[in-house]
Amino acid sequence: MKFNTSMPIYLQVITAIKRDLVTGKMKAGDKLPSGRELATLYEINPNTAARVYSELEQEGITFTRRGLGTYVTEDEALIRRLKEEMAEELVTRFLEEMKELGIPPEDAINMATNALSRKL
Amino acid sequence: MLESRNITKKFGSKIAVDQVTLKIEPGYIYAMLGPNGSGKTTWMKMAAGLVKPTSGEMFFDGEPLSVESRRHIAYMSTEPYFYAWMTVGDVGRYYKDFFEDFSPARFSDLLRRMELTEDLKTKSLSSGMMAKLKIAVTMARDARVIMLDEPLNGIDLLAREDITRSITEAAGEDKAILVSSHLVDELETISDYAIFIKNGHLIEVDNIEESRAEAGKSIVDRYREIYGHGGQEW
Amino acid sequence: MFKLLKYEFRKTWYTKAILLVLTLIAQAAFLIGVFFDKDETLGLSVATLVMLATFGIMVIGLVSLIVFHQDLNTKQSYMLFMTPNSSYKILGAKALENGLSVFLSGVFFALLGLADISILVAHEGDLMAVVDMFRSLIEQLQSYLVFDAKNIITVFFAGLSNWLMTLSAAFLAIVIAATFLAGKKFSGVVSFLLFLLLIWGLEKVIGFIPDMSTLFMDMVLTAIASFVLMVVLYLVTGWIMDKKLSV
Repeated sequence: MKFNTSMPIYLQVITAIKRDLVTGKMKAGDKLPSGRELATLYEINPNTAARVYSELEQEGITFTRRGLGTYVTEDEALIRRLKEEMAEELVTRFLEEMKELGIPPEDAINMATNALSRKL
Repeated sequence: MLESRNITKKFGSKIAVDQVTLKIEPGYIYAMLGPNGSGKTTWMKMAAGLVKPTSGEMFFDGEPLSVESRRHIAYMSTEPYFYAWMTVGDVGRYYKDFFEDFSPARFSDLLRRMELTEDLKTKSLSSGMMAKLKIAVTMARDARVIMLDEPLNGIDLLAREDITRSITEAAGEDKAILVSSHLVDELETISDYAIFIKNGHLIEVDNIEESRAEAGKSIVDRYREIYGHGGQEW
Repeated sequence: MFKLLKYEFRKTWYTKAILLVLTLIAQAAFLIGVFFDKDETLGLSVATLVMLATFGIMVIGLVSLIVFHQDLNTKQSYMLFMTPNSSYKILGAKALENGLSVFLSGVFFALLGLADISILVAHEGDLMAVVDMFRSLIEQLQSYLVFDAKNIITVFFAGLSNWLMTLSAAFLAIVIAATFLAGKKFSGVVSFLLFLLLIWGLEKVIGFIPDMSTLFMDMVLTAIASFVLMVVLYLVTGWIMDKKLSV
């Protein structure tokens, strides 16, 4: 995975894992790789990998089964909420960046609708 | 764990390392950065006990560096250093003979991944293969301090991933890993700390994730600020 | 220590193998000379064998020094100084390897000489002529020396301690050159000049030993003095390697 090296790596890995959850690449209750495996998988520092899991656990997205490893939460609602949050974040960013270009939200939405109809 | 106090090394009138006080702690991967000739190699060689400081001292576990500390410190130099008569297998047997922490199993595993075989003569290895052999034999030691001097030099893009992976695999709570490079971005994602060295001076030690979070800076950004260029040339 | 010794042998065995092959060729020529009555071949092979025995031992001594020089002045030095072995141990292994090699090759050539003489005697059948030859040789020698067991042993130990002292001086010269002229082109030449200087100094020191009433006592004292000097040289060399030498 290519990282933006000006931003904390752990946040980028967290986002990548959340995306895997939201897109269904990973499912509720799935076992996650160990911290060490995660480090190897993403080619990141092992301490960073450990931090990824501790942050995810704090958010309730993962949990640890003692001696067995880290698992994705079984709370499907949480994953749905995650999807909503991520979508909301994207929309907000879209609108904000459009605003920076001097395009009001209504126009931005119209433009998006037009783009969609052209594609269809 | 490994510490230099006011260490200085002069070669004739040239000062290679100037009053460097630096502490390496277990559980972390350190990237030692700086252009060629900035003093990284000399510091590492002093830590390995190969080069004697002009003044100042090196400590391991709080004790002055000694023959005993070599049991726990693995060092890989930039230059090839094996005896001319050796095959790849001989190199492994030599390490087995002298280092209690050397694992022949891990060595053969690393050799396989690096696509080297035991019967190859070290004399006939290409520079890239030699670089891989040096890494394999060093990383096959379960040493408490691992120092790799320019491990990515002469290594093709694909094999670089094997090497960075072997570094993250070797990392552990009780181990310190110190990797030098002038290819700054290669170590960006795998290191905890960046040690910047310039003209023999220690400039600073950065916690990389922190400086990303607080200043939004990558090590490459910091490198440019310190040296005035991106580190790809020197 | 055993492992260090093993690799010291490994580093020098090439020269020894060449010497051995040359000796075997000369030996074959000797046997051909004896059994096919070729006097010329016999004469030539005997001369070659004697030469190989004397120069061979010298070459073995010299090769150890060359290896030591390389072990300090090239990158292969890391192979030794990365390992958890003290300088004294590394140096000791080298001295021991050299002493053993010289001693063993001495024994080898002595046994070979003895065997060859026996073969010659057995083949010529004229035992008395050979014995006479030896007797006259020994008588000649006896006009110089008192030829008894006590003196032979003393000469042997005096020779050995003198050799070890010379070797230690050479080691010290090489270490000094490597420590203070690290990487310089002429460190080999400088080591040699330093070595000559050291030997000159050592001879001076030994010269201070007062003359004893007998040759025997003289030799014993010289042997003891060289041994003590060897130990001093060894300690000084080890100390410099430990504290000062950067490889």
